[in-house]
Amino acid sequence: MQNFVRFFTKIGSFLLFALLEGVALYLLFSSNNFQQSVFFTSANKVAGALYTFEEAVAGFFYLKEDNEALLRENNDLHKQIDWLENELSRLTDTTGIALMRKEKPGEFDLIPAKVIHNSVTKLRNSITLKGGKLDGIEPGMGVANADGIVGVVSHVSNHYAAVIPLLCPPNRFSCKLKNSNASGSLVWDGEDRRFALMEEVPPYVPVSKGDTVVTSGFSSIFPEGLMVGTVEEYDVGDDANYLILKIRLAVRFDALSTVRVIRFKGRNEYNQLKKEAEEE
Amino acid sequence: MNHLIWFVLLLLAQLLLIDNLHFLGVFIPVLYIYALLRLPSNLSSYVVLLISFATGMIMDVLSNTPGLHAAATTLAGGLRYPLLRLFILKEDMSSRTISVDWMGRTVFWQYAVILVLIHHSALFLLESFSFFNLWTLLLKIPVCSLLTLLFIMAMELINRDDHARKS
Repeated sequence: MQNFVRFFTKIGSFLLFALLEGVALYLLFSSNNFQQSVFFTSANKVAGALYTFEEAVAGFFYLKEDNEALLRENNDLHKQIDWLENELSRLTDTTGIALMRKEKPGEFDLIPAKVIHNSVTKLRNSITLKGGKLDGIEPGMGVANADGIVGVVSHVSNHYAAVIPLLCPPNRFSCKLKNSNASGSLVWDGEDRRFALMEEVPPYVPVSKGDTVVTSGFSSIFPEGLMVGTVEEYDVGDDANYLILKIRLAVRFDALSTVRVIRFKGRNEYNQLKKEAEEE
Repeated sequence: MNHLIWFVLLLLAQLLLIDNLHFLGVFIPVLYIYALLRLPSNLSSYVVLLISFATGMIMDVLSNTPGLHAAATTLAGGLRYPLLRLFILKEDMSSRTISVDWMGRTVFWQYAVILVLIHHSALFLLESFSFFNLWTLLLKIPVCSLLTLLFIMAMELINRDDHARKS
């Protein structure tokens, strides 16, 4: 018995070490972004409260930039209203079609949310939003701001949401070149937060520097045509079967403050249909 | 108690301050390792393990990287005692905080450099496991370790001044 106790105290700390290390590695390698518990992410209550506090202090220093961004957005919206009013009056004059159009419900709802935590220095970055289940946010919804797309919601608690940003490889985002409609997938290379790579573009597609890249609308996350970025450089891939484009991201990830979560109204129906199609 | 305050302060500094620094790009120091470094040398290895696991988990939960910091910090916590035994005799282990003053400059820095290198190597290796970028990784381990060690050096200098003033 004494021997057993002595043996156990000797090997006990090693067993504890192995156990803790095992738990950590299990969490690390089993972590599937969408299935994991909210408890282990920054969408939990304590983390949310801490980052709300951080935002309250740090947000003060960005008021000026926030204001400018809002002004810019306001301007754009005004321009759009003008254009729409013109268009509306032009169309109502001739036929009644414009009235029908007006009554067609929008496919997407926008839910505004404040960014309370945001990392850009890591290999896998994350964003935390103040806004959760009670605001109508659900996992799998797209997140964008006035400049372009930001990421996709991964976890939601009642008041907070964790977001996987574009800067989080190996997550890929479907996008396309606006001119040629050629689609590809966007992934961050972990180097510079201003750029990401667009891969799987066919080699015969005409590309030039400065071309606009937008979302493809191939999923229920983002509607088609949201701004992603512009082409900075392009290169033929290793086996010349596809092009690799270096994309200058439209969103400045180190200066995020307010974003909009995109709720696709037909989302459940779309996912249901996709599931059924895959099962057959 | 004193040590608990150190852990809390360093974790808060890491999450609220350091993770928001952008001017050095992907290179950031890891502060909380300093709190682990200076725990008393005769503290039971069970306690050290549990403390390092908890520290890593808190870091993970708050930065959305389940298991990453926990794995690296538990490794550092587990290797701390064998590492200390390389430099200190068993009879000399005491309940004093580990510091330059207590261990002497050479011994302290050997201990600190090895422990930080172990922790950072594990952290960045695990981080880039499914997404491998060799050059960034090879650069990140030494540069981040250097930044962390600079921080530890600064803290040690401040603490020493404190002692000098008191005596």
